[in-house]
Amino acid sequence: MSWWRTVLEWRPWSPRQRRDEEIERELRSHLELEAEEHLDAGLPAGEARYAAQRTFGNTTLIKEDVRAMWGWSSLERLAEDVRYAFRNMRLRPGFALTAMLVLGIGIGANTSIFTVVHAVLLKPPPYHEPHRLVRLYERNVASESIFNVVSPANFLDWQRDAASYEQVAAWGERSFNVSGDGGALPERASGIICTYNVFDTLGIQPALGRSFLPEDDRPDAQRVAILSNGFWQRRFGSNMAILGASIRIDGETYKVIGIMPEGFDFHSEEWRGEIWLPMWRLLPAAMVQDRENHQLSVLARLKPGVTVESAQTELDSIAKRIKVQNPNVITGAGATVALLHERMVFRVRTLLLIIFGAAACVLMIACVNLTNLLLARGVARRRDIAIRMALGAGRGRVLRQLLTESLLLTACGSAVGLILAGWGTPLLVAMTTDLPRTEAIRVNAPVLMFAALAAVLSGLLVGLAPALWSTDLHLASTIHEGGRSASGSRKRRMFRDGLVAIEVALTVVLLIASGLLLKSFLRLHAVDPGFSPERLLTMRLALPQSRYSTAAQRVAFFEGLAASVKALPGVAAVGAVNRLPLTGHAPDNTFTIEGRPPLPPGQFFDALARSVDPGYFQAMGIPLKRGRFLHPSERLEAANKALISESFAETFFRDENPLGKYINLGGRRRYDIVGVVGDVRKSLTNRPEPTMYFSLLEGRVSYAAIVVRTSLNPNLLALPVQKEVARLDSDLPVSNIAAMERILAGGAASRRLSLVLIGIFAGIALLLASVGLYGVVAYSTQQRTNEIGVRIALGAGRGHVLRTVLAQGLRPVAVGLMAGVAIALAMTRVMRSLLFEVSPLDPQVFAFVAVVLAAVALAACAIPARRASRVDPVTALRYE
Amino acid sequence: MKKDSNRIELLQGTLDMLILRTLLLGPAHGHQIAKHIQRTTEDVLQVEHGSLYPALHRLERKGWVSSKWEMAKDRNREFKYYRLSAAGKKQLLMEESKWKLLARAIARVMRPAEEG
Repeated sequence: MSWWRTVLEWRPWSPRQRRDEEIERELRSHLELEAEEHLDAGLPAGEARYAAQRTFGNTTLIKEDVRAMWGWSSLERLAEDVRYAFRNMRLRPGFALTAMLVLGIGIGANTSIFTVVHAVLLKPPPYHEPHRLVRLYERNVASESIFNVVSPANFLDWQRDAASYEQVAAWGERSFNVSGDGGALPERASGIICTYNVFDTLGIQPALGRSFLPEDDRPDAQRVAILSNGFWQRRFGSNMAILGASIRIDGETYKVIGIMPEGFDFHSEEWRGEIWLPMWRLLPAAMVQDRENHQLSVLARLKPGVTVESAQTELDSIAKRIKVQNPNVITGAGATVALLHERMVFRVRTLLLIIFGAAACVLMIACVNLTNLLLARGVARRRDIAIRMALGAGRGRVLRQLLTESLLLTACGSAVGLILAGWGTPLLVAMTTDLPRTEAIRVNAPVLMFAALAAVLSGLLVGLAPALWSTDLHLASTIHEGGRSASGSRKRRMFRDGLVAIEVALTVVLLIASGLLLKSFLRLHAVDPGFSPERLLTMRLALPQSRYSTAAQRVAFFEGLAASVKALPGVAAVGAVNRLPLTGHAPDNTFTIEGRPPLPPGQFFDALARSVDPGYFQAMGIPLKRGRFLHPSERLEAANKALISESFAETFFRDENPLGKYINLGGRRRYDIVGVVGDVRKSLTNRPEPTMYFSLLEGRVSYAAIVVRTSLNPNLLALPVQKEVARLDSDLPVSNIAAMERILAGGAASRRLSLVLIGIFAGIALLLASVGLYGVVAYSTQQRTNEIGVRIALGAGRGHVLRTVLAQGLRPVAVGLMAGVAIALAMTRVMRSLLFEVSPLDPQVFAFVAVVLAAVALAACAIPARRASRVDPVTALRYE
Repeated sequence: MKKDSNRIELLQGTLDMLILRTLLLGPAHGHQIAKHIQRTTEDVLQVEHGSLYPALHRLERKGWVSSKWEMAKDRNREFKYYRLSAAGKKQLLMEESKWKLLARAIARVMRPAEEG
């Protein structure tokens, strides 16, 4: 392996090598002069040289002395230590590789997750002075929520009265139909209507063209639009000519005035803006006065020096005043101000932090494991170290050398970890669905610094204790003993047991966490959504106001579509609903029940409200409990029938028969309750909420999701159904085509991610802990071989030996198990938000984890214990 | 190792002074310095090579002498010549005065015994 040596001894930076050569040359020239003198004195050539050498003395020693004179630079010393460490690693490649791999996994997992945590949680959003950007909400409108969207009239009051802000802007989410001009397909795009100053408030300008101006944002203004970069690329092939050109949106002509920069990805709770339109141009005049129509997201920029708290106090008093002035209006009891960044990440924060914590646990366990291994090795190397110290190496010098060794291990581990992280981070991002700002997730300088810091910290953590132990010697006795310190000190043993206990405790915490997540995941999968999701195809469409301005036109379209889709081969049933369950927001409405005494002012009945066509319940598989479904003949004026869900009936008609009762919808018409249907969840994790169903055939609603129950693979029908839509209206785009089962799976995606990750971490932890436990027990029994031999020779039963060793090995496990359970008990608050219908103290999970851990620990101890009980006393004593 | 009874072991620290003093006469390489000390003390002081070279390098490290590989005048070969630096001269003066002080002090102690 000469290349290896060359590599090790190549020290281009070393002035030492040059100096060595110089001393060599100097001494040689002196020797030659000396030899010449002897030659002149008449000695023969050969003898002259010997004589010179004799008078000169030991050249090597002189060289060493001279070298010592110059001392070593710290860099050289480091190089020496590193070379020595490499040599040691090469002597035990198995140990070194295992250690690097274990550390690599630990550091890699942490780096990966830190990359995500850094980009998502730590890095402020890429706007101008992001610490001054806040979101404003109404609070306690009709619920406990303090983050409620804002009604247009309230927004205008806030904008006028609040003095804390430089700018207050609002936006709302809308879907737009973009017409298919020039042969392109019509398309349903997600859009945003906003006040003209949204971009100004963020401190972002369009990359091309201009931003909105105040005069664009008036009811009588010319229609203008700004496009997102992604939409511009996708739909218009990044064609510059689109700037200033016209496109048709919802049947109206808009002039494109700007294109947003690439990477501008403004999330407002999962909504991506592809088309931006001025808000006041689009909102109907009546809505501007509306305090009850809560629909706007509000963004504001604080004036410099104004704190979130003082802004909160001011806005809350303004909102309270509005409530006092309008006591009978359904509006917020106050207002909430929160940092934009906080609101962007609140959904993922706990999840990320828990995963980060789990990864940190794995790294800790890896470190503790290595510490234990190094401790065992340290004992084996005690003699070597003792001799070196006896020869005059200072403790500091030996300590530094040992720490260099462990740091080198962790540095290599960190390199492995970075490779793993580079490969794992995109995987991690791909597995999540609800991470904001994924475009910012990449390995960058802070991430590299984190990896380096992790390496150094774990290197010190791993190396310090073993290095201190192995340099703390009574020199004479250690050398004398031949490095085989008979039983190891009691303290040392306790220390190692303590490390095992820590490992076990952390493993228990991870196992409990993953057990709880697994149980919630299973629970979630067992949840009955209230309908049957199999072989159900869904898609969305919206009828533009310009071509479907009357109720009759809309009803005719929905009826026509249902009839023609039903006629397709492979279609069992078809229905339509304004909002599908499990797809985010569900609209609600306040109502009164006819014949009931009015509620005190400020109190309302409130329930989810959906509009469905007569085929909806059969198509979805929602069971009828009482009464009847809607009838196809009940359309337009005759569509004054309603159905309610079971929980609605329980909540509002406890002891009464709801059939035949009337619901009044805030000043609108009265609805006759004709039936009760099964509960449907608006999302899997929510309990079913009271829901009322009105008829889509009323013609009020212009957008709908079509649900098609098929007898085949639902995806096969996607195209035929789209063709039916195009046959009815060739300029009507269809969006969100998805099988219902995929929508269901998507809702559980982030849970699956945390389950998979924490499950993997717990698995690694269990493996490491059992290996660590095995190592400790095996080592200590090996150390005690002759003691055990003596015991057996003196008549101790093998069963007794087995029990003693087992008991000794399992003691730290028991301590660790209890500590782990205690930590898990203390963490309930953190875990609760990730769990679903599982208590963070679930006894089943706790018991299962304890049993699994005890079994694994028993197995890990049993192997060395059996070996100990089979010790042949003769061999054991001869070994002495 | 042969040991002459009339040779004296150098006192700790005096070798440095002797080297500096030798270099006051002009630059010299190690062999010349050793020979010079030996000759001027009529072989009473024998400079061990094992102490000479570490001492030279020590002096160089302290900046009292500088070194350079130069061609010897009398033969066609390069030697490492040591040269006294300004700091070295100052050091020499200091050591000399210290030495004189020491020598006088020792003499005062020794003289009565000699006379008596």
